[in-house]
Amino acid sequence: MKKFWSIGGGLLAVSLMASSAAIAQTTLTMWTFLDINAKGGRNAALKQMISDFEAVNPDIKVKVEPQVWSTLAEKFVLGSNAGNAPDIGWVNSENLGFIMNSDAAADLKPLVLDGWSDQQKQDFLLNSSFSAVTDGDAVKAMPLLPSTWVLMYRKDLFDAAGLTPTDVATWDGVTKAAKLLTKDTNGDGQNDVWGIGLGLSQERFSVTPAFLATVDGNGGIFDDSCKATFDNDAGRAAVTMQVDWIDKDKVTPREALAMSSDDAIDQFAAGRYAMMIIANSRYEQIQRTAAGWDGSHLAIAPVPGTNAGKPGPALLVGWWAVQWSKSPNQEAAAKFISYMSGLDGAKLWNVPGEQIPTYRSVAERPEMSDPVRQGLRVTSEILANSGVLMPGKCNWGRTQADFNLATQQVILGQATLEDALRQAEQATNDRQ
Amino acid sequence: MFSSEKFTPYRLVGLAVLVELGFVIVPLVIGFWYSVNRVQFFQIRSFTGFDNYWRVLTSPSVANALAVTVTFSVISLVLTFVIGFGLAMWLERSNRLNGVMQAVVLIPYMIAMLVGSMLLKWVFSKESGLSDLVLAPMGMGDVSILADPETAMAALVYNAVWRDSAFAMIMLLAGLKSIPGHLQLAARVDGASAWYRFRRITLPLLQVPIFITMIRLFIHLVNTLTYPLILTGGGPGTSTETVVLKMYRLGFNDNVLGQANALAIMVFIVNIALVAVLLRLFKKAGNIQ
Amino acid sequence: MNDNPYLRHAFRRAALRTVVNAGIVFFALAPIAWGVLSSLKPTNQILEVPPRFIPQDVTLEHYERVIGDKGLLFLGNSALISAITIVCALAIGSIAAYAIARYEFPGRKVLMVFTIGVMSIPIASLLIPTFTLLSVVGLINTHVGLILLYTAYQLPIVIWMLYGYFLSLPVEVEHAARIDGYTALGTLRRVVLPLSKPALVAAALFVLVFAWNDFVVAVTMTSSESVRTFPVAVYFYLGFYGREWGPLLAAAVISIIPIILIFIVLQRYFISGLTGGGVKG
Repeated sequence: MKKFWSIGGGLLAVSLMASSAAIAQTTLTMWTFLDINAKGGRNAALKQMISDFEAVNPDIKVKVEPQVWSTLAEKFVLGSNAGNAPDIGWVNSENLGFIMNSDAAADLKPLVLDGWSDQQKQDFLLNSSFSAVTDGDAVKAMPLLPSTWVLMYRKDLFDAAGLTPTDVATWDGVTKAAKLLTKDTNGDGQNDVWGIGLGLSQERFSVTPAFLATVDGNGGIFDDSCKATFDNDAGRAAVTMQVDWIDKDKVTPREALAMSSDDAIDQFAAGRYAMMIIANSRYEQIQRTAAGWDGSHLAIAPVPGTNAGKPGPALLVGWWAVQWSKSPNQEAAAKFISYMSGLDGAKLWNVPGEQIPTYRSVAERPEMSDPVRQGLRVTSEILANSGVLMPGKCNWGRTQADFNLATQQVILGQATLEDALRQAEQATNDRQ
Repeated sequence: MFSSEKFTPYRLVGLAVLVELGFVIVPLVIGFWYSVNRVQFFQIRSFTGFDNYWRVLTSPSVANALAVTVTFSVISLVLTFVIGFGLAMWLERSNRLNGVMQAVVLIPYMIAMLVGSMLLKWVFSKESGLSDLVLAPMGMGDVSILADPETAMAALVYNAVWRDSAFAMIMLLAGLKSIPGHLQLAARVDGASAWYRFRRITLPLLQVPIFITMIRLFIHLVNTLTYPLILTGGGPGTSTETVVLKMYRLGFNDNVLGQANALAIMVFIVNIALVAVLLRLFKKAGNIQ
Repeated sequence: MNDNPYLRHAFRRAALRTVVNAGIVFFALAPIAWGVLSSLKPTNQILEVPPRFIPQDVTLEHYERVIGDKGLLFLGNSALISAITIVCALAIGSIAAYAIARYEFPGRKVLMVFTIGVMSIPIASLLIPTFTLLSVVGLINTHVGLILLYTAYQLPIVIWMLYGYFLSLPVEVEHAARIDGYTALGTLRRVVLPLSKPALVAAALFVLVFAWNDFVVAVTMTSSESVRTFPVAVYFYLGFYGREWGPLLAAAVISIIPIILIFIVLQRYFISGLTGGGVKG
């Protein structure tokens, strides 16, 4: 076997050298969760981007190796430690801690950002996001596909109940609306439609209302040294709200305790909920899987605020590109990252990728006013108005699960509200 | 036996030992090295001696996980073994129907654990309307199996029994095949009852397969991650958070790989101790050489 | 009903048998049947509540999708890796088991406990160190690396199973073979293994089920598509943008069909078992 490989490798080397007589070839390896050979707008966008890039840079080839998204960041850092990471890796916001706390990622400031013109920098909408990935002077990642959590609701149910998005601008409003929307439609004594869905499991969790309400009421979760503080009135009020939805108001099924975010989204798609906090990137999937209702009634509203007049935080998250610090192809890799996060890339991510525009000039294109991009447009506006960045250096990837556990423990009577929050805060701090 | 060839047995076991040393023991030793260091985001920060062990030992959540693991693995072991044994006896005789039935029992074992547990979660969900179909007519329309600590544990056990009974069945069937048919026949001719034949012929001759099945099942149940990870997520609360799930969370969610490996090493030691106890019990009963 | 007591008895037995078998089928297959039926539904009917068991519209789109997503390549990888793993595990395992069953040598007991010990390490705790190890020896992201790991993880159970079975075989035939000039390995191959088909088939089945379905080890140790196994590919349907039940279930159905077929083919050996006499050795 080994012999086979070494002969094969030799042949490969010889053929590479032969072709290098013409043009010196660099092959970049990139790990992403997208698969350029599969269907879907995002995959098509990346495929197009690569062929455009290769046309402009005939000496560089980009090889995509699709990875399971949930283990991508871990494997990138593991690979870096062992000396076999790809040139470029994609990392989601929740896992930036791996990048920020290791030496796996190269500093992209000199490699990418310094090459951008002032005009491009001014056009870029995500400049503030660099604060999440800046360590000293070094910028460790470039934002590619931003997303955020929003309040998704069923327009048909809202219309029937005489509700409008302004009624759910605050969490109190949500509770009231949820009571109106919770219904036993077939009269069997069981609710068929619940006001608001929650996924409170500790696995495959996502952001929940309690987390957002705490960020809102508390003005963030971490201080500058990544010490978490939410064992306070804001945190307690936020958890109590979720507990009450299940125990007192009965607008959320008790089974939420066992549901992952995916389970709850499935239920939403099955027409069982009127509202739910969901990542905007799930919009398309929910429309496609909607069963028993018309997916075109899916609508997006800002995250409710704690107080009237101020919308809740739209956490800016999503996927970032990082460059392996020990990559032998630093220059070429930086070139491609710059391309993906540059204006040309952004146009493709927007259409056909159907992603939130990352440049002002992209956001203002006529394509964005097409009615099919209603959801994207609303989300972009929400992000522009109330976008909040989670710090990349602080490890908050599992803090949402800490909130879920706290909610569960209170409902099950396994801990008092005070104890549950103290433990949640402690758990988050132990992870820093 | 064949004891004249002094080095033959060592040559025979050599390759197996080499493979195990290379791909299990070496990683285990590296893991042990992690366990005496502070490891963050997969990078060793500082040597801490047995600090990780102390942290893990004194952690209340680990104590809880231990209790959960004992409850889960003991109940599952007994049920899986009994049902597996029952199935083996029930489907022992070689005919076409039993062949098909064996394949049926094996299907839950053959399907990927991940998908199996995901399907069970769907089936147990009240909100999806599936568990309701069975529970509502029994007047338990309000029961949400996975949202209540006791029923969630029952669901977890169900998952294990549902999948792993097939394992026990196959192990014991292979054992049953090694019992010389004429022994059973002779006893039958002598008019021995089925129960007598089971106790005096089947059980004694099956001691080794029974022992191996129980050990393997037990280790599998203690070490299994998929069932609690996928089916219950350790919840509700921490009522189904097993030691291995806790270990997984320490390592991959909380990023304290040192503590995770400390816990793993301790699980390993406890496993070995329990196996030694079982070995002793069976030795007393007689048949393990 | 006939009054013949013998017939009545037989009828009762047949009825009991049918009821018990039906119960077994129900408990074993109900969740899987739900999965199979759901895999045949169009995407916008899978999640329907209240659930509908018989699909309103039947579609094979999810199966086409799985095959279209290079499913056959990944199935091929899984098949190759599983097959070689089975051969390695059974070959190495039967030789070791034979030594433990038939020879008395210093260190034998230690070896038996060692085997159980190896079996009792939670694999999840080995992943990170193993990644480092495979990287150092250059086996990361290779078929060979996965085969060696799977063999190492499954050898203990193979050794124990075969050991148990070898113990129950009559030893006299082997003595005769040895007198005829066979070596230890020769005896194992010519005499012992042909008598051990039920145990070999059972052991092969366990190795197959593990190697065929493993996800955690494969996802950690491989990264390129040329080495990707089917379970890792299946996991892609639990995507960042949502869980796709249709292709997920279709892939699960596809992946159990070959193992069921293999079991049915091998069952012949399994059923045949040991006939005739022999005294315990």
